[in-house]
Amino acid sequence: MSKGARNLLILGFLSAAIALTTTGVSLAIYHNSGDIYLDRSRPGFLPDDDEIEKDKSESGDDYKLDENAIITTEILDEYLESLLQEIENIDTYKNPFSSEGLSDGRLGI
Amino acid sequence: MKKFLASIALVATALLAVLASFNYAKAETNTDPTSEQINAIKKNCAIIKDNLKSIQYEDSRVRVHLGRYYDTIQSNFITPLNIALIGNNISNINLIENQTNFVTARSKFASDYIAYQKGLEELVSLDCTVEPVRFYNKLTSVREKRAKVANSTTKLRELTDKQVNLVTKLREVL
Repeated sequence: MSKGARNLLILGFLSAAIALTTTGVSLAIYHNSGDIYLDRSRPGFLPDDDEIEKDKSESGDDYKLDENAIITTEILDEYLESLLQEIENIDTYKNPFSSEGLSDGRLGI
Repeated sequence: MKKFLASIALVATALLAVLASFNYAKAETNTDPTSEQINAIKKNCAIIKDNLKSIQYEDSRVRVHLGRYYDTIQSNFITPLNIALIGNNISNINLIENQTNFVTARSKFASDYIAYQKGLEELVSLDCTVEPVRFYNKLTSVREKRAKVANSTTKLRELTDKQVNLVTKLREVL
């Protein structure tokens, strides 16, 4: 084997080793940091089609207070009305993460 | 003699108090399942695991949606209002404090949720036909973690209500 071919082979193995190491470290950080539990793009946790459609229809409705706005009672009225709407959205989830979810009866124990 | 009897009584009371607290602590941490529960776990292991996986999925869905609403409230309502108030030379320490508390509560919600999901994943990985007691004890631990997540969401809801109250009061003084 020529010197050039040997060096190429070493370079190939070294590149593969570096790639495997960095991938392993990234996955370890991803898992240990807890981000894996917040990531909904992993298999088995993808959103349903109806959720995607609902997200698309709601995406243009977000209110945001202008940081440069002159604060008046009208501005605050609009602010409160929109904030109460957000609260209504939150309240559609009755008792999130309640104890009922992991009760013996619910699990089949 | 009287002093001696008084000191004996004091020591006895202290000992009783220590024993009582020990028993209370022991009762709190005793989570061993009954024989009926053990049999049910062994018999229904596959069904229990399927139910846990569906709870995992449902919880992740709820977390994403609630997380999005909390993010909207912080980014579109709480923070911009405080910036706008500064621009309008209006001082309101309560609103700034509420923003700080909201940010802290959101961070706690995320960390509580991660701890809960880690526990749930470890629970699902256990073989409940072989280790039903260990499975049930782990389930008890995961229930406690879930309760913390529930408390976090309650806290965020309270802070959102507080924001409404503070802004309503601000509106009245304008």
